[in-house]
Formats: sequence, structure tokens, C-alpha cells
Amino acid sequence: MTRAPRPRVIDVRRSRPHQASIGDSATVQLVPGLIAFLENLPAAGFHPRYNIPASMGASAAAAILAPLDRPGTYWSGRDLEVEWTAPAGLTDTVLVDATLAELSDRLSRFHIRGVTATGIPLYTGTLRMMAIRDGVPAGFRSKAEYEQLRARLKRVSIPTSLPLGQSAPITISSTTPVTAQLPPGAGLSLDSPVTQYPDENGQVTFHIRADRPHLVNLGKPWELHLLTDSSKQTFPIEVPDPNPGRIFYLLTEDCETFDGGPLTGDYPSRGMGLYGNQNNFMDPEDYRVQMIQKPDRLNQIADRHGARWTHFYAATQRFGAAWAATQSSTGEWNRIVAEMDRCVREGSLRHEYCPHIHFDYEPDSQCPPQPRLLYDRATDGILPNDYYHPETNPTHRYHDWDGAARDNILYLKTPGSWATGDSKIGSLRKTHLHLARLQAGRRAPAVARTGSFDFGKSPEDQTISTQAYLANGLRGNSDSYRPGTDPVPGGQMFWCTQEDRQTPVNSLDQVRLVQFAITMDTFFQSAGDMNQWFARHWESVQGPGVHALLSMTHAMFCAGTPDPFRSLEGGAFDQLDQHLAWVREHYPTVEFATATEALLEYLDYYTPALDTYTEAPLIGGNPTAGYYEFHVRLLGAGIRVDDAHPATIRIAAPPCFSPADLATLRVWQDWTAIAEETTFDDRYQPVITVTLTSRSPLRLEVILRPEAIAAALDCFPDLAFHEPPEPPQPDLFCVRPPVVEGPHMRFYSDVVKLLMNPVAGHQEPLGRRVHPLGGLTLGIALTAALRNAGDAIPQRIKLRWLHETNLESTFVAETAGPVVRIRDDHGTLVALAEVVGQALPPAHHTADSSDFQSTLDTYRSQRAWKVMLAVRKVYDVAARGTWGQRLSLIWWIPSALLGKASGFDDYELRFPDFPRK
Amino acid sequence: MTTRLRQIIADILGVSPSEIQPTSTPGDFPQWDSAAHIEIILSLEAEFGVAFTPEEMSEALSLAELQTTLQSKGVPPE
Repeated sequence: MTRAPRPRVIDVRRSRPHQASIGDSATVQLVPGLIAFLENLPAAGFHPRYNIPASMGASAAAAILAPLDRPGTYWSGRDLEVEWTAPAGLTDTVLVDATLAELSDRLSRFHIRGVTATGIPLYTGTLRMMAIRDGVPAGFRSKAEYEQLRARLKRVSIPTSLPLGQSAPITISSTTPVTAQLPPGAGLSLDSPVTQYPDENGQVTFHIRADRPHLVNLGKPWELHLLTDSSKQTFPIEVPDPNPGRIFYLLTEDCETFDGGPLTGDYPSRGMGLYGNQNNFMDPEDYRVQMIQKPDRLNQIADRHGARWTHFYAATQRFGAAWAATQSSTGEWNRIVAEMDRCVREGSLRHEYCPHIHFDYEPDSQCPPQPRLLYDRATDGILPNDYYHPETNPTHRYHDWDGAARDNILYLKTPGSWATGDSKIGSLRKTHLHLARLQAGRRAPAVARTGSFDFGKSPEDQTISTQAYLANGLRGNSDSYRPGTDPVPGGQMFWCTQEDRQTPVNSLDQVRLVQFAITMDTFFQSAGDMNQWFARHWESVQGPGVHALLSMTHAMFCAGTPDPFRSLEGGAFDQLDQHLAWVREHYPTVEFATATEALLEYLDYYTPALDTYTEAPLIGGNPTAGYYEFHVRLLGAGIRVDDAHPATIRIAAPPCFSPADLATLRVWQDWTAIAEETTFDDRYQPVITVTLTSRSPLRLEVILRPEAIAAALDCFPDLAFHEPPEPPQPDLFCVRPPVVEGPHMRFYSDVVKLLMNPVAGHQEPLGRRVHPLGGLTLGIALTAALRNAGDAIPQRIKLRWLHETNLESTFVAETAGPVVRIRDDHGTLVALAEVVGQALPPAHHTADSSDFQSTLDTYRSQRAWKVMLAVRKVYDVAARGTWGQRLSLIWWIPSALLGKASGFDDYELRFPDFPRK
Repeated sequence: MTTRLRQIIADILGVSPSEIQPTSTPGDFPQWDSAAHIEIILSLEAEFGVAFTPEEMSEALSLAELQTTLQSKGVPPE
């Protein structure tokens, strides 16, 4: 059972009734429940076994001061000094005494002391409280006087930090007009005019609003510049994100075929496994097993766990299959083509199929050597003409797109356009269009992976590849190949430079593509290895923001048993099943997602400028008449859009439509058409440009030319209309551990918010009488100070509360030796503490107490122990009991001898609870 | 007066008197906030039997300035 009984004032001892006098004392009792509940929450940073008993001192003090209560007056904690001797045990009843030692109309001081009900001392200390009258510390003659002094003492004239979503004034002295220059990334906005003129005191004040976390600014504080004719002042402003991060797990595979015969890699003789039927050609069986059955099987296994596959799909092989159907007389290739398309259509209900280009299979290319594909009648198989080269492609690993993977091969180097097939843009478009049509109404992929990671080597080639992705509306790329490397801080998703996909950007103006790095390339031979990799990388993805863990495989290399090529059970399939079950069980907060789903969340969080994504599901229209409506998602959470902050965006037609299909694109917002486009160029992605002054939902209406209506209907076999999903909302409940940020630690107020509010329909807060607001900084100070002390437990603390606590803020603890400074998101010093810890001996009490408890349990079950307790009871009752109790022994003793009696509990020996970290 | 003044400020801030210099201001001690300052002022009023005006209270923000204000109220220096 879990329960949290309320602390009770069980005694107030006064020298004069109904008055507070020096020497008066009070006792508060907390029976077991709350400490155990908090101790079991998965959040460090509160130290309930030390914190709760110490914080209860304020309740005992308040009980003594109760006769002084007046309307508009309360007592607030000012200083706390505590020296602990032991933490409260989870099953201990805690008794806390306060004794009034000093009292004025402004201040009161108490000696406080905590013990368990069994008499084990927990701590002694001193608590000072100050009287607050009408919101002002007692002693000030007026609120104005207090505010005047506060303004003089205010140390933060220019905030170095702002809470997300809140505003603050920034005042500088100037004799000339000052213009504010906001940083790129839309992290800050102005609630005041951009240019301001000095007031009569020669001061200029801007009101700055924190719209987005500084994580968007690559983790660096936003920089506000204030410009005059002759000077420029820069103010770095942090905006911490108080929200928990999101962690996505992406399963990806390259969906393609492999033969493994003597002329196609000769893998068996080189001991590299049995994949493909090794007849030197890609025949219908290779296709069926490797691009249909195995991907389908992977989907089925993932579905059992709610996981999602992203299949990087070599659609060029599908084009090759269609070419083979024109060469073959068996009819088998027509069936393969139909099955491949069915596989993508059905699979895309829950999974995703993204472009993966093996350009060597492209039958329509004019690149040498010609013909592009060879057909072998004996096997009914095909093979790219340049599939094997003894020098440049001996293991058949290179499929070419840029051509850089194989030196000296000139392939697709020019950007081209949607209308030129032998170009980077055109080749991507052909694959993207094919997959977008098969997934129309369900998915619109925005991520691609080139075959053989052939994105280009030189900065120039990679820049062109980046352009090609963007020209196709692809915003993510998975060509950063780092198998076996250490975890990437922040996860495997990052903005990469356009010149080098391996390199993260260092400024927002470099932002182009989101890169998905691959640190795990697996054939799922061992669930244990996968689990180890996942657990090792998990720690790198903690904290606010959007993070991804990503594994890569090839469906064709997932070997079942007994036949590694054909079997769809056992082997890798079992290992995958076990791995996903383990992830689901051990990491319930991880979100399985496709690459595009994770990408969109990443873009929403990190994009430096407002962006859009046209979602695939139909939300309205009349497709049989050529009318389609799609929801347009705005990307760029927090970016301010209103009349004073207009934003110009581009909205793209869904990739399943070609420019030649389109008659009109129209954008609707709040039931008003706000933009329309009727001219489209076959060479470019159809887009419409709109300037927004609100973030109201957007709809894109697509009107097709009459000649395109029938073909489009084939792409939308399921004509259901879907309303857009609700936007994500904050968690209903979360408890987060503190995060280490360089030399500091950041804390969240989750536990205190929980304690500050009633739960389960009760009327009073869960933390009634344990003073969670004061406990917040107490827990932070203990955690931060002891973090570097290794295996230490709290011994002493001296804490001064300096500022009211804003629970919407996060808190940063700066530690210098034993001194801990705790600041909120405004940069305001909330509390100052000095903490002394006590080192524990190695292999200390956890093991010891476990052994001790085990031994004790054994003793307690033994007859001799019970006899000892019985003798204790008989002696005690005989010596000190009432006559009634003595008479009851007559009945109790025989049953005790028969082993039936109970009633030993009151006579059990009590042992101190060992300190535990 | 200086010794007593220094002792009062040190006690309220929880530091050693030797840390309090004539030029010490709230900026030197994070714990010297508005509540600590009113505590200092009221302690000085009680100790030396004087009364600070609101302006004096918010202007005297260092040991030296507090000393000057007390002297202007007739409290003799040591």
C-alpha cells in the first residue's frame, strides 16, 4: 500500500496560554508514507530522508507562532542550519520539535530537533523565520519603501537568463536613440518598439520576451544587440527549457537485394555469410525474399512492440524490375512489381519508405556504360552493367549516386532539376515521387539516405547534394556513417554543414539539412549486443530538446533459421523481437518513430525560421473532382507570429503530385483564402509563398488539372478524411532528475509542484506541513554540493533563503567548494547554502544493512528470540501493567508456548537505520 | 561605533567581521538582500537609538555610508 498520512502537530507546550513566549515548544509527527513515496520517485535531487524531517521544523515553529497570526501576516523561512546524525528510515515515524529561542515582531528563531519515534536522533539545528506583512518583510514602513530599496539592491539590471515565455525589461543609459537587433533563430522578441528614445533620466528600456530555448541556438545563449550611432552592446541571454526532452528510437534498414554469387561478391567463399541465392543475378527470388518478405516480416515484429521501421528503399531496383518485366517472358517480374508496390502501400500504414538511391539500377539513365541493365534469360535475373568492377567495386558495395564512393567514377555531379533524370535533383525526384505516390494519404517522406552513403566527398559535391535534397523538400539525411563509435552527445540527430555531412554546424546561418548519424550497423545477430548499445547511448540523450537513437540494418542481411537467406523465423528475427521487448520494458519513455516523424519534431524544436510541412493525410476536398485538402503543419515552436511579427513561409505541394498535375494551389487560414498560385514549372517543386500574421491552422487546397485526376485517384485508394491531430501538450505529470551542465547542475521543480498541489481528489496539498518551497532549495543544495564528493552523505547545512521561488522556473546550482548558489531562470539568487558532507566508508552501509537485516530476520524467526521477547513482555506487564493486563497473561502464556501468540511487536528490539546515500 | 557597526553587519550576514570593509556593499555579499538590509537598519536603530528616514535607508548601502549616516545623527565615531 502507498499512503501519505499528513503530519500532525501533536503537542504545543506554552508557558503562557494563547501566547508565544521564549521557551515554548511544539512537536510535529509524521508517520511513515510520504518519505517512502518520495524516495521511490525516479528523481534525484530532493533527498526526502534528510529534507522532509528538516523542513518539518517550520511546521513546529508555525504552531508556536500561531497566537501571533494576523490577517495579511505570515512567517517565512529565512535561515536554516541543520546538523544531521542520521536520515529518516522509510518506515520511521518522525518527530520534530521546535523551541522558540528568540522573538521580535520581525524575526523569530527556533532550536529544532528531529528524532524517530524509537528515539534515534536525526538532526539538531536552528531555524530563523521572518515576518511578512502585506507582502513586505516586517520593518519596512511601506511597500514603496521596500520596493525602492529592492530596486537599489537589484543585482540583475540586465538579465543573463529569462524563463521561457516570459518577458523582462532591459535598461541601458543612452543619450541617443537605441535600436535593438534580435538574434537569428527567433529565440527572443520585443514587446516594445525596435527603436527607443531616451527618457528624461537618459535611459532606454526594451521589453524582451523569451520565445524559444537557447538550445535552438546550438546551446549558446541568445545574443541581443543594442545599437546606437556610435556603439554596439551585446547581451547574452540564456533561456533554459523547463520541459522534458523527447527521445525517439528509429529502426532503419536499407531495402535492397543481394545475390552473393561468384560474380556478385562471392561472399560464401570469403566467409561473409549466406545471403541471396548466389546465381550471379538479381532474380525474382532475390527480390521477393529481400525486398518483400523480409521487410514485411520486420514490420510484423515491430508492430508487436509499437515500433516503426524506416525502410530506405532502393526504388531504382523497382524501376529495374519493371524493365526486367519487359525482357522476361515468365510473367514473374510483373508479379514482383505488383508485390513490391503492395508491400510499400500496406507497410506505410505504420512504417515509412524513404528514398535510397542505387543509381546503378536506373534503367532510364543515359550514363555510361550502356545498356544500364543486363538481363540473363537462364536465371530470369538482371544486373546493373557496372555492378561489378574488379578494381573499383570488387565487393559490390557501391551503387553510386554522386560517384565519390568509387574514386575516378564520374556520376551524377550536377544539381539539375526535377526534369533532368541524370542529375542529383532529378534522380532524387524520381525515387521520391514513386514512393510518395505509393504512400499518398499516409506518409510524405522528408528523409533520404543515398546508396553506399554516396553523398559526395568534396565540399562542392556535398553542397550540391544538399541542394538536391532541399530542392525535393527533403530536410533530413542519413549518410553520416559512424558504426561502433561512442555515443554522440545529444543523440544521433544534428544540423550538419552543407559541405560535410559529418560536421555539425556552429552557427544558425549554416543550417540546411538534419543529419541522422549511424552508430549501430547490425544484422540483429545478438539482442544482448543491441541492448548494450542502446543502454550505453541512452545517457547521451537525456535533457530537454529532441533526441534520437538510430540503428541501421539491411532486411536482406537479417538471417533466419535454418536457411539464412529464405527463413523468416528464428535467428535475427527472434533477436530483434527480444531487443524491442527489452527496450519497451526498460525504457517506457522512449518513443518509437519513423525518420520523418522524428525529423518533424526536431525541426519544430530547432528550426531557426518558421517552416512548414504539408502532411500526407487528406483532411478534405473532393478527389473524384480533383480537389484535395491537406493540413499544413507549422514548424518552429515558440516562434512569434502576429501583426507585429509577420512571418513569410513557403508551403509545398505534397510530393505525390507533379507540377504538371496542378491547376491551383490555395492556402486557407481561418476560412479565408490567403494565397493562391496557378503557375508551376516542371523543373521545380511546386510551392506557394504566404506571409502569416497568426498561427491559426493552415489548409492547403490542391486543385488538379482534369487530365491528372484519374491517376491521382489511383494513389489515394483509401478516401478517408482525417482531422489533424491535436498539437502536443505538456505532460500531465513528470518528475525529472537534475541535469549536469558543465560545472553546474540544473534542477526542475517537479517534485515540489507535486507536493504543492492536492492529489487524488483531496483538498490539501500532498506536501502539507513539509514546506516544499523551502525544501526545494534544501534538496538542490545537498545534491549539488555532494555531487562531486563521491560516496558522501549530508552532515551539515547552512541555508539562507533570499528570494521567492517561482515554480515555473528551473534552478541552476553553482558550486564552489562547500558553497552552493542557487539561481532561477531570471538569474536571481534564490538561496545560498554551505554544505558539509561526510564520506562513507567503502562498500558501506547498503551492503552492511542488507546483511544485517537478513541476519536479523533469521534471528527473529527463531524460537529462542521469541522466548526472549515473551520473557520481556511477561516481565514488563508483571512489573508495570494493570491488573487487567496481568490477568490476560494467564491466557496469553499457554498460546505463546504453542507458538500461536502474537503481540510481540511492542517488545521487539529497535535498531538504528543506517545512513544511506 | 565602527566596531559595533561592523559586528552587527557581520552577524546579520553570517560572515566574519574582518570580511566587512568600509567599501563593502550589498554587491559584495549575495546574502545582503532587502530583508538583511532592513535587519541591519533596525538593529542599528535599536543599538544606537536613532531613526533612519526612508531615503537614508535606501541610500546608505555600504559600511562607510552607514557610518556617515549614523554620525550625522550624532553617533560618535570610535
